Amino acid sequence: MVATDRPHNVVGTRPVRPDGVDKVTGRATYGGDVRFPGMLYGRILRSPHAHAIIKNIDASKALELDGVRAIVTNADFARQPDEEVALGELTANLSEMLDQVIAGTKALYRGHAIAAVAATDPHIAEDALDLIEVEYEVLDAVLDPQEAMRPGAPQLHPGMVTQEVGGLFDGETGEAGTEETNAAKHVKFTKGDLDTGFAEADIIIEREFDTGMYHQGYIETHNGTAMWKKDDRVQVWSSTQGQFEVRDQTALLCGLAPSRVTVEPVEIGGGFGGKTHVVMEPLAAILSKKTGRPVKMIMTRQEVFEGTGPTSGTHNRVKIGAKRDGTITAMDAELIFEAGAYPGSPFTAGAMCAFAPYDVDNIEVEGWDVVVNKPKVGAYRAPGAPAAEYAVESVIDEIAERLELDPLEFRLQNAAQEGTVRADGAAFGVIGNVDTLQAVQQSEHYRSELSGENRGRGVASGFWFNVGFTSAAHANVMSDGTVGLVVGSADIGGTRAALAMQFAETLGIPYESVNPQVVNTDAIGYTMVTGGSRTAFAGGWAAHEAALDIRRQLVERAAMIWECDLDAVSYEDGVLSGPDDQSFTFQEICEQLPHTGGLIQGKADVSPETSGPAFACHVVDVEVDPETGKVDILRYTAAQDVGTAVHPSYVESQIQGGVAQGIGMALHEEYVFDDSGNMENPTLLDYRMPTTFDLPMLDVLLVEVANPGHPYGVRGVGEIPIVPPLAAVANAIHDAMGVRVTQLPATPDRMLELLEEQGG
Amino acid sequence: MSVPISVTVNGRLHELEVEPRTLLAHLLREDLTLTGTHIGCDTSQCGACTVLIDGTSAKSCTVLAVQADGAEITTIEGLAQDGQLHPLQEAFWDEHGLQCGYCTPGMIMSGVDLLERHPSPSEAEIRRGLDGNLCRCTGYEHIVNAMQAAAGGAS
Amino acid sequence: MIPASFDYQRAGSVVEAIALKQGHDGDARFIAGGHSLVPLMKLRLAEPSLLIDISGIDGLSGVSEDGGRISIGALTTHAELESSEVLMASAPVVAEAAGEIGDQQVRNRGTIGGSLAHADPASDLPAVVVALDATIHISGSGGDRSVAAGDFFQGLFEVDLAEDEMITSVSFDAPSHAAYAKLRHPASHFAIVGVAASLSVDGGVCTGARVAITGASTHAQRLGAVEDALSGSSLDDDAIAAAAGAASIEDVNADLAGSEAYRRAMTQVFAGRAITAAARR
Repeated sequence: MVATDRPHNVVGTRPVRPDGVDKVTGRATYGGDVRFPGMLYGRILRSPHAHAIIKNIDASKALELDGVRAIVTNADFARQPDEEVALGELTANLSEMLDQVIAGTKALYRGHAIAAVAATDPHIAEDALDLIEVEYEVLDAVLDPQEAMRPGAPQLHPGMVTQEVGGLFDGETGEAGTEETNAAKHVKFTKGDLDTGFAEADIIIEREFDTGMYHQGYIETHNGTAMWKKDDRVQVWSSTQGQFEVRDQTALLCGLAPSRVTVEPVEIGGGFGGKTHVVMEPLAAILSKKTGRPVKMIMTRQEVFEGTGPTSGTHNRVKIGAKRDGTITAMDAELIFEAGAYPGSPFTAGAMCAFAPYDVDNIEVEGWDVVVNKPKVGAYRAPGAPAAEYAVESVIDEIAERLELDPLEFRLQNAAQEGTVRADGAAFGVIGNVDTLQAVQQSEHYRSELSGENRGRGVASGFWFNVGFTSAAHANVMSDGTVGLVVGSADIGGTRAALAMQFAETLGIPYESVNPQVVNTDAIGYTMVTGGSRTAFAGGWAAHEAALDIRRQLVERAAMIWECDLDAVSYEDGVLSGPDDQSFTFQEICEQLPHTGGLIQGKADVSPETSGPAFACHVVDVEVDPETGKVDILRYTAAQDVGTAVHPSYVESQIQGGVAQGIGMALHEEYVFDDSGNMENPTLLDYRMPTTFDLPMLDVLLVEVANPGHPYGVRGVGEIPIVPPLAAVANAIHDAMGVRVTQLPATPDRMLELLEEQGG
Repeated sequence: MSVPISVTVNGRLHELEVEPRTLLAHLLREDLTLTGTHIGCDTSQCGACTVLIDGTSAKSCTVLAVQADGAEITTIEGLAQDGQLHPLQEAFWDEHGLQCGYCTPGMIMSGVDLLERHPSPSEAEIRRGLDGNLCRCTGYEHIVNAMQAAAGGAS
Repeated sequence: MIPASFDYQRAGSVVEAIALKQGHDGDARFIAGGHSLVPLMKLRLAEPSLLIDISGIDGLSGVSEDGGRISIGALTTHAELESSEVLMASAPVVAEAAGEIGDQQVRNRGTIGGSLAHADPASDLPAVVVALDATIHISGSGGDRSVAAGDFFQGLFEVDLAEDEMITSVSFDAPSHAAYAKLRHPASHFAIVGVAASLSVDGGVCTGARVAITGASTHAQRLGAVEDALSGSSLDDDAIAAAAGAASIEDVNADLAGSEAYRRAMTQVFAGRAITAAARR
């Protein structure tokens, strides 16, 4: 499987990014930058109510406003089947997806799109929104998932019953309930026997934890531009992590075959999982169809908060039993995840991750997916894992403390290793769980003395699956010895470079000789979303295979030129060697190509079923101001099994970015709703993302346990770093002040209350 | 009602008629097609729209275009001189001070103001000086490194 | 996010600015840096029909000192305050407080006059000028007048400034012992609670104190009980703690940044920190 035993020439180095010069000079084109002659500007009218029946929409006055060209509502779209249908490599309920894009008979959250307007000028479009008259019948809203599960709670979707589901990649495998409820889905994983396990325990700790609803916080707001042409072909420009997903979803919601929609690549200003599904693209498309002109839509920050998919607020109960010697005997958890207005929270992933770092015989974990009158949640970096593992790692810390064990030793004693079977039935291959624990244990940070009042140190582990799925790569060899590498993965954080590096490594040519390009959906084979920490892994694999395809063809060409057998030609480090000491460098053979049968292309499609699971262990020092409750991060070190660090600086930066977001979850960020379901902090004035001030330098320990399931040993690295910070910070706060934080974020006022409870 | 303004952007004088409610960020992006100035938050937190007005940094989404009458504006597109990238542009590229790149123009423009005030800034001065610019990708570490590299190269 | 439509005029002088405002039938506002007003207009929380741009008026900017009396022009930016050598030498509390406002970009545009006239309940400078017993100089159609800062702030966004008046400058005596301490909102950087303290000290004994708070209530105001407790005290840790503990205010703000109870607690904490810093000056 491993591509080569020789030391790498390119993989593991730190070249500059190909998109760098455009990004530092302002020339990079993001979705909001595209413009066309005659272009119209779209804006969205949103529901002021969290739960209401839409009785009537009267757009007549808005249509009379000079400059307004069209208005669309849900009624402008074809009806969709209310069932799971195949969509790309996954499934989706298109009826729910349509109603999520633009509300059908009901508005299910404040900010739910009700109507969209296109006008000749963004100012006019904005003014037109005030002229659209909507008649609502306001219903009681339910915001808390536990309340939503109780009989008699306001029902978001009449007739909804609980669907039993299997593992994340198994789909709906179980039975459906009979009682109407807001609990859309339920999952349960069992290993061994819980009662037996707890009976063996000398200590049992059970705690409940809450986490807030968090937003991904990408700095670029959503945008989408569509041009519906007379032949019913549609071109779309969108800030998305997955142009093929946008193609498929836009097409189906607009009643077109996916082949009639082309999604063009643009730079994307961050996503973190939040830009993996359509938001406005179908609205822009139908507005364009109605007007015959291109329509551009850009969200405000408030729309991003209220009208896109943040992560689930959660309520999680965790119970763990252990023997006095530190052996964990039983682990039990129940996770309740808010789905927002439509089913689809990451509760299954949370349930699968919760206890994954531990090799324990008796485990039971169940999860609930509960609809509430809040924005439909989306994916956010390791979806479900941060909240679930925060709860588990807090209880693990408490048991270690009670048993007077070093928290890392306790984890090591019970650590999942190769062959450990998880509660969901999957067995681990080669993983770096123990290695990351040991890396922290041996780190200067962990061994250093932490002195000073109100200071404490905490550790926490984390696990995330990472995924594989389909990626394609094309490579066009040029006669000057360079190669255009063509891929379909949106580049959020450096994947053009990471893919080009693996390609250059396999071909034995300099990184600088590869010109990576992201192209539109017609110009490259199907490529799954840039998400699930999959792109450097699967995309890199596709690039490697495309390079092998070129090598094979170059060997053939050399054999033809040298008039020898294929066996007599070898390819090593970018040099072709043949009989009689004949050789061509890559550059030389490229110069020969046009005259010896033409230039060549390499191509590959890969769809690895496996990936490389990721583990991380973090240690953090905090200082708590006992008078204000403010928590400061003094020092942070993250150890992570990264498989092979293709570009170590980018890997470090992914980890630092994830840690920063995790610290945001632990200390600063959350959606705050009033009783009616209005978000009270829908701008960055009040939603607090960490700034330079809030963070110290974030140290990274790259642990490289090569993934045997990848040519270069690559594992996904992007998501796992957001998992451990929540518990690590909470455990550090406990070490500093002796209080257990069971609700995140640990804002200053909450901290002060906790400290007062302890004191009083 | 439109108001005449004359504004020098990246060394070029523009005589324009603008609606008073036009934001400077929109004037730059829409009228002058200088789309390197990004908009991220609308409420002057994120700093993606930072430009220099008469040499000091400002959030162009919180400045009316009419307020810029008579001013010299520098945007990210005007930073490179004579085909040479500004040291901060080089440093953000070389030190991997970006991922998605969306905050980068504003971050660099704030960096220019910062280096004017503190030619050899400490880490604390950098963190204070860039406090008005949000980055969600990097955790800021490589951005701080880039600032230090640029300062080191400039001194 | 775009403001509603409005008209726009530039004023070349104070007299012209006031005349424009007087002559306008509707909601006319002065705009200088615009960093209080433009955000509100974008959120459509303010929809003035006319903006009068006063930023080009000569002579309203800068910091000067004459015989221990410091004068600051209304159009002086926070960044200019922060880096003013006069202030750093004679009234560092003002430079420090200005340096705590917003971020660099905001400080480059925002002005002291705008900040005081807007009187956001969470802005920093109102507390500082109240603690310094500053005089606010105002021009209007009826001529010029002055008002004590302590009387200027009257309620939520409510100040002693008529429709046809504008602030032209602020003046105060250079303080001997003054400091500002602030609990900063982590996102907006406004003061959740901010306290400015100015003490007169003679032979280690506090002979007079003005302590003012912002962020905690509707407007910047003095903490009278704290001032009383400080007067005649030795300014040791216990005395300061006792004085800070006497802090009490009415109409305490409660919002996402802090509950009423939290702000009450922070009022005492930051009163203590401000007084301590002032005493050590």
